[in-house]
Amino acid sequence: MKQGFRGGVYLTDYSELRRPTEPVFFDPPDEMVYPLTSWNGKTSKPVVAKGEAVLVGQLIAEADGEDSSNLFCSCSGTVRIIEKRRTLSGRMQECIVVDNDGEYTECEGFGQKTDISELGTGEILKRAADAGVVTPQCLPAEKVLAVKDPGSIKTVVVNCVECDPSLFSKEVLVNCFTADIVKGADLLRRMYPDAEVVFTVGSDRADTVAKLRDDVKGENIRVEALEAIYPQGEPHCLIKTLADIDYPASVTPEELGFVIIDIRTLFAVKKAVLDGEPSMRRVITVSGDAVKNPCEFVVRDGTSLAVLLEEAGGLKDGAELKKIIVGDHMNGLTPSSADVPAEKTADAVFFMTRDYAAEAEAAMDNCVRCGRCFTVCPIGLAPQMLAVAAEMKDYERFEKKLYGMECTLCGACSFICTARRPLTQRFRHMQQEILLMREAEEKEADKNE
Amino acid sequence: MNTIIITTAVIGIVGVIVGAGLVFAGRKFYVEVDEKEIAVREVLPGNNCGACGYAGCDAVAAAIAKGEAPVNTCPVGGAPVAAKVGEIMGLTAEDKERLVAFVMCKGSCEVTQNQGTYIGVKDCRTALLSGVSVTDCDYGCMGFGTCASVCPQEAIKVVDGVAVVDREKCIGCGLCVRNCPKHIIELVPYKNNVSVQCSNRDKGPLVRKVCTAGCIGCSMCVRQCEHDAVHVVDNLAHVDYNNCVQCGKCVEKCPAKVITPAAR
Repeated sequence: MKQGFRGGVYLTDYSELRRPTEPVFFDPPDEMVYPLTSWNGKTSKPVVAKGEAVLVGQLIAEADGEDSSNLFCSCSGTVRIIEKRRTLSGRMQECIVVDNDGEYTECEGFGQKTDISELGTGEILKRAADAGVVTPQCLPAEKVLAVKDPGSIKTVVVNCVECDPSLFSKEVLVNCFTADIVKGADLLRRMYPDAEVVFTVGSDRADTVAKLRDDVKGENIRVEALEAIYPQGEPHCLIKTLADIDYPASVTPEELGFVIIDIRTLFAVKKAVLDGEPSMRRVITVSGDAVKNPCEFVVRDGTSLAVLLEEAGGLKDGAELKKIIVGDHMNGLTPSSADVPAEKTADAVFFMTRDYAAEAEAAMDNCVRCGRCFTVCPIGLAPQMLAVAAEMKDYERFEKKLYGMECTLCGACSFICTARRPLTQRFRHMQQEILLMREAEEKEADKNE
Repeated sequence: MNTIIITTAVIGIVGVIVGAGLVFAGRKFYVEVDEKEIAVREVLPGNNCGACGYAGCDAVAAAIAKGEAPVNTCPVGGAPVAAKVGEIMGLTAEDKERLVAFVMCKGSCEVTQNQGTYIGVKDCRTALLSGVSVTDCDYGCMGFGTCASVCPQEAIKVVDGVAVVDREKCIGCGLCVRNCPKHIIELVPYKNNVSVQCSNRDKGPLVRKVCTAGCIGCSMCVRQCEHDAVHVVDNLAHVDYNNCVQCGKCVEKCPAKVITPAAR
């Protein structure tokens, strides 16, 4: 199978051999909690007040500042209070708490269908932005889709590669919402008339590849099965695999003629633009070795993870819950309790009986210079040397000599490390500090001018 | 024999030419160094800690010699160094009040529950970046000791999950203030004995949920104070050190015992 980049790791240790289930449309009882701040710190401004009645699909908070997005109610009921609650990030954040009446009365204009032929690119982008669609990295979708010159885009990649073998949300989207995905692809072709739409799928998902090859047909559409190796789904690796181009972090895929969109984002954009349904529902895998019946749900935002766990049969008898991971194993968030609401970016929840990170920390040792991190780094950096520079706080060496700012923080080096050292975490810290220093320098330069 | 003579002659001539060049360059590109700058540099502590905000002792010496910085710029040297620098510069150093660092958090392991799941590099800044909660209280000390690691005097220790400053050792350089990612360290006058040891800006019940020693913003201290020295802003009491007369009435009445008579 295709793998253009060198390195990478096979994440087979954590996968469970199971097939995705038919997704259950889950309507939660009780209260729904909508955090105003996403995990990456972007805050929205509430537009409803305590005691106000809200309906499904109603705007409850609007974007406030760069990269924040509109927030929509996913149930009907009344706003109980706006208060601080614990969220996915583990911090206390302002949340809108809604008493759910269980009727799911829809607001006016919800589910209003639009014909694709009426829409121009600007209108599509505007609708996606208004509907609060975000990418899995928590950026507004229109940031990924908007390009200066649509004619320069040669390839649109719809990414269905799962970062983790135990995730199934993308597969479920392809298998159960095929019609939506096909319509979504039409939207993309409308926006970028000269581009070829490429669906990339991990080769371990043979069913998905077959299903896509059967259903999405037409000119300028193709399905590529790629080697199921982490981090195949990252933009850098996708472009290297598909077009054999290496590019530095300062270059955007757009400049290379690429637009890369996650299939979950595409699904949400299609729902928002053609079906009049703002971003408020998503497929979530509930899994992990502590769960009785691992399965897939179509979940409304704001549902407590604890409720989802109960719905999946609860914990196995005698299983002790040690860790919760929201997202994939490599990049997920780890809330301290299950009593937090699902947010826009959540696509999986794992309830684990083992805390791998804590075990790794307990086993941490000095670097033995085995060089395994060199062999797995997908962009060819020298993680061991970077780590030394990071520990010494040698910013100059980190940035200029070892190209530390190019690191995509995929975590392959930390995963493979014999001595179990927290490499990626140090790199993230260094990158952040260097960015802050650059900002300060720019400010200083502005002042002097 | 001939070879030796030629070689010696050539090397000798080259040596003379290069020597002349060096003498010329030395005259032409001579840089005048201020004598004062050298003298000031001599009396500075010389550990290049950067606490003054300049890039090391050389830079601050140059700034003082040029008159761009006051003679008491060096916080580490304190009054004695300022006096010596003043002598050199022919100025008298105005007395700088001695400041010490103070950690505005009392959240030791006994009073706050720690449910955090953070695993990784033991550094407050890295931990905060990971986006994972370390303590239940979002405002409090994380206890990984970034402040202790930057302190040039080893005046900060993490005791029981909270950073504690040794007032006697502290020289008030402010490095810990700048490096604390939670911004819970401030500089207070050395002679001051009344400070609020909490940074939680949440409302009372929420504070109580996460910490039994937190400021609940009840304003009892404000009512006790006769000198307008305590104010509650954003549910958090703060002492105005300019007005405070150290009477200690607020310390007695504080229901949460969060206003401390002296650093622990």
